[in-house]
Amino acid sequence: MAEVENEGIQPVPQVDRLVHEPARLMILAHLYVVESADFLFLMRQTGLTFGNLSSHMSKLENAGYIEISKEFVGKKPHTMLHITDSGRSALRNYQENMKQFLDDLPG
Amino acid sequence: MKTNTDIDFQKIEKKTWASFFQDGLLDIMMGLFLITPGIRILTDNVWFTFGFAFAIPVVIIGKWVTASRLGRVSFGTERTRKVFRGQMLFSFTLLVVLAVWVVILGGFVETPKGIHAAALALGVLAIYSMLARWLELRRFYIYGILLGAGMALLEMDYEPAGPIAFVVVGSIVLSGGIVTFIRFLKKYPKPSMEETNIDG
Repeated sequence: MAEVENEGIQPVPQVDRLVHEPARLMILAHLYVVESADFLFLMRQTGLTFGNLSSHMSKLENAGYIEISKEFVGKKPHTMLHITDSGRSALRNYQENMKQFLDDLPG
Repeated sequence: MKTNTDIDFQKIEKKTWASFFQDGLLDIMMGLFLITPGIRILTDNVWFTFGFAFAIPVVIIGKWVTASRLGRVSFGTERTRKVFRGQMLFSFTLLVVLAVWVVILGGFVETPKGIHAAALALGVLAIYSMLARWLELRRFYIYGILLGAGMALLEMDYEPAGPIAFVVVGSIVLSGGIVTFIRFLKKYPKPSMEETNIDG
């Protein structure tokens, strides 16, 4: 997180860099609107590659923004993802902070 | 998403929901629904009376193929409520339309043929409009108009224009569905085991 102040103008809001990254933002936004989704579904919806999604998923999981669980469909295991309460509030805060920052820009 | 601050969650949710209907299977089903009554009348082949018997297995088998390529998702409570409301409205409309058809077409009330045709057309349109609302698929309004108009033409004994119109329109819808289905299969290949279960 970065805290920067512009002298005499307005403070730049704290922006969660973990959420700010476009691919992670896309993952969080997709998980925000559903109960849960599997890895394949997120890959299809976001257009991210296997490696990309996998790496961003780990970062979001380590931050506690998403939870990963295993489900069995027949005999096949599926990796299911869902956003945590902390992930939801991080996304909402991020949106508010960015909006406030851009609204405060002069002109 | 235009900018990072402009996240339209509703749009994302709608897009996610709509992804289930991008495989062309509903269009294939609609195409078969339109074609079969036309062929039944033109050829007098009794097998084509049961168009549903062709369409429903196609959709079930097709869904089995496409669902595994799209991945799994469970929607939130808002969508679940929306779907429930849509199903209720659809069921209610279906019952009302069937009751009206029984009264008018069943001969309980004496009515001219023009009223029969109008009842058929409006009934089909009402059912398809509710289906369009439930599934959030605008093209079902068009299918309702096409099928309703076709039914009205058949009721008015416009032969062979009525059945030919059914076959022509049905073929267009069916072809569109098949093309969409093939594109879907190409765009979303069969996933590997790794893609569904990333830790192996």
